[in-house]
Amino acid sequence: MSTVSLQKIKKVYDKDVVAVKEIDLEIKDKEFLVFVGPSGCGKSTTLRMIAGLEEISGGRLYIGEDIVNYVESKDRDIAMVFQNYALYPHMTIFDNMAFPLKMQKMAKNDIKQRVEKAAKILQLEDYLKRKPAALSGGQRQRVALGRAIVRNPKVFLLDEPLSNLDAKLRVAMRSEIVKLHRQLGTTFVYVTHDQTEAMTMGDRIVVMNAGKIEQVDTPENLYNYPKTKFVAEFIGSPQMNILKTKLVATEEGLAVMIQQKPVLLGKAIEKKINRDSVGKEIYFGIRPETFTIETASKNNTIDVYVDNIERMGSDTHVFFEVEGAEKELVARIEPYYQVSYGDAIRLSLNMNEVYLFDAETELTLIQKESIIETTMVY
Amino acid sequence: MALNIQTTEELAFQEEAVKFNRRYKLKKNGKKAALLAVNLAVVLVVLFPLLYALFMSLKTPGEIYSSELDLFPEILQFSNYTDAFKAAPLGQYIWNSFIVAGLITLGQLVTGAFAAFSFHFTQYKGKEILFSLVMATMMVPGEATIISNYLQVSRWGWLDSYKVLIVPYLTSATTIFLFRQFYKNFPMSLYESAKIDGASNIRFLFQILLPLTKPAIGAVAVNAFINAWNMYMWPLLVTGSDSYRTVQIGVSMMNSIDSQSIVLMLAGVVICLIPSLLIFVFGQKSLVRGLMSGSVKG
Ligand SMILES: Nc1ncnc2c1ncn2[C@@H]1O[C@H](COP(=O)(O)OP(=O)(O)OP(=O)(O)O)[C@@H](O)[C@H]1O
Ligand SMILES: [Mg+2]
Repeated sequence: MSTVSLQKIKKVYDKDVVAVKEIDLEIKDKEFLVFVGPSGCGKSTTLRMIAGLEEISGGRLYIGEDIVNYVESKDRDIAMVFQNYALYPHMTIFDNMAFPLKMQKMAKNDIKQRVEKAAKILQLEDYLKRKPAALSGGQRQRVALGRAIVRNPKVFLLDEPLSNLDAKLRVAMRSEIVKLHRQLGTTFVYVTHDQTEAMTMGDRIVVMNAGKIEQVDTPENLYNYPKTKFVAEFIGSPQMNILKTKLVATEEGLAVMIQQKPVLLGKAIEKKINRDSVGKEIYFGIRPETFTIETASKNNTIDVYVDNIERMGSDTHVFFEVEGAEKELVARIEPYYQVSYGDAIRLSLNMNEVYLFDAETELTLIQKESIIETTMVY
Repeated sequence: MALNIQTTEELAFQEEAVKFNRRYKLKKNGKKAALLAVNLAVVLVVLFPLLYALFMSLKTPGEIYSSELDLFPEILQFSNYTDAFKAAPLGQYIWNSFIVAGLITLGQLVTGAFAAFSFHFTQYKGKEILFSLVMATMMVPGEATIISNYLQVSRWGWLDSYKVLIVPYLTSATTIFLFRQFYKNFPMSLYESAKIDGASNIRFLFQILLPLTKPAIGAVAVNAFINAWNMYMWPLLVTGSDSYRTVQIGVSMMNSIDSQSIVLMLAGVVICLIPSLLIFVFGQKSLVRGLMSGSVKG
């Protein structure tokens, strides 16, 4: 079994720099788990503690059945791929991939077999005799992957393995790594700061912020049911729009104040909201993709002026100001609408797909019971 | 060309361009020549003592003491060199110096590479303090400790031996410091990767770190060898017989035999400069070569 279990794992640097604050996490067997979060949130530190490269300041770490807090890296049965590849420049590609096996004193023939098999999987057969300097970035990263897979480790650890590659190659390698995971059927723990990478690759995603886990969930659930304002803003591109406003009760039902007008919540959302929150300051979140352009004025429409436009080809991002917003809001609309700078437009909000967070705790106000049960999708 | 009809303006422009080019080249060449002249002047100043010793070592004793200032010898006295070997056991001195400098270099490479490895790559309590202590020894001038060291080794009965020349210099703070500076540019992820791959510290050191820091080894070796070769005070104190005397001491002693021997001493000086120069010339090549390409992105 290749499970990894973190129990109250903590990392303190230099006596007072808390990089990771007591996190609990169960990484399942054969799972592709992605750590994502802004720079400096402690993703790498967590991964490096699992790898045994960083001493654990507190808590327990299990790999499989065993506590491994004090087990050396090489005895943890893990392999790691680094952002900068970390290949041995004076060795050929073959020797680079064979190195961990040589350390295990494996027989020469077996080493050859394993390296060749890995080279085949990664399409590196033609390069085995070269030195790393004679390979492209993508090929070097594949060698680094190869060096990891020849050992058949229990757990693969990858720390931003694609961030040194150019955008196109990154997308290609992304699916290669996912395929590799499927082929090998081992646990992968992957660190990235890129939410797109996380969403497209992970079975489950751990969103971290300032040394804490904000939420661990499937990509769908993170998108649809973010537990905190932080997660809501971090997942999705362009970012979710956030307004600081009030939740009010009207004769027709619960509503949020937008531009001094109560806009009724959809019935589906309203059912899930605790009545205690009425009258409170809240953060109201709405995704850019849920706006539509409207002609008739309704309860759920707002009139705004276009501040800026970004045409992506497949769709158009329209930026506009709304009172109470921390920054400009953005709506993603169909590209055939002809809008230009300064235009007055009318947008309708899909009030069944909105997010409400307590202004103080920043936790979601949408109650758990009604949230669709988390299902694992492999 | 025939199809290329050119207006007079175009022709004028071309002519102007050619002229400009010529002027530019002249200016560039002029600059080059000036730089060369300055360099040559500096080289002459720097090399003057060396050349002076070389020319003096080829003169007759009479020429040296003449009041005329003449750099060049009338007749090249190559016999000074052969005579120097007859006047004193120069061969033995040179051999001694080679043994001493060679073993000191080897010792410093080994201890320096290991100590710097532990200071840079491994983590343990009190590492910083230990390193500061080692560095502090660089601040203490050798003259301050030489007498107590002398008393120590003489009590051990080590005087007049190879070991008294070698053992005290088997490690040096400078070497450790130099190695550590080189290691600072070595990607930590390579160490971490080797650890995960199952390499022990020793294996990492020999199979990965040292092969990839050859330029460092070259630089440190040159530095250690030249320092050891040029040692003066310590060998002067602790050696008394020809069988352990180093070439620096031996040559300086040739001066005192008689006034005729000054040229022989100068010949000796030139001879004992040669290894230092050779080491430098050959060692230098390995100093500039980069070996890290392709390992990590960056
Ligand atoms: N050796 C160290 N000594 C002191 N503080 C450290 C050390 N390494 C990391 N930190 C701190 O710990 C925190 C977490 O760092 P970590 O490298 O885990 O971030 P990260 O989430 O991987 O960020 P990034 O996306 O930039 O790689 C940061 O605030 C960082 O400054
Ligand atoms: Mg990181």
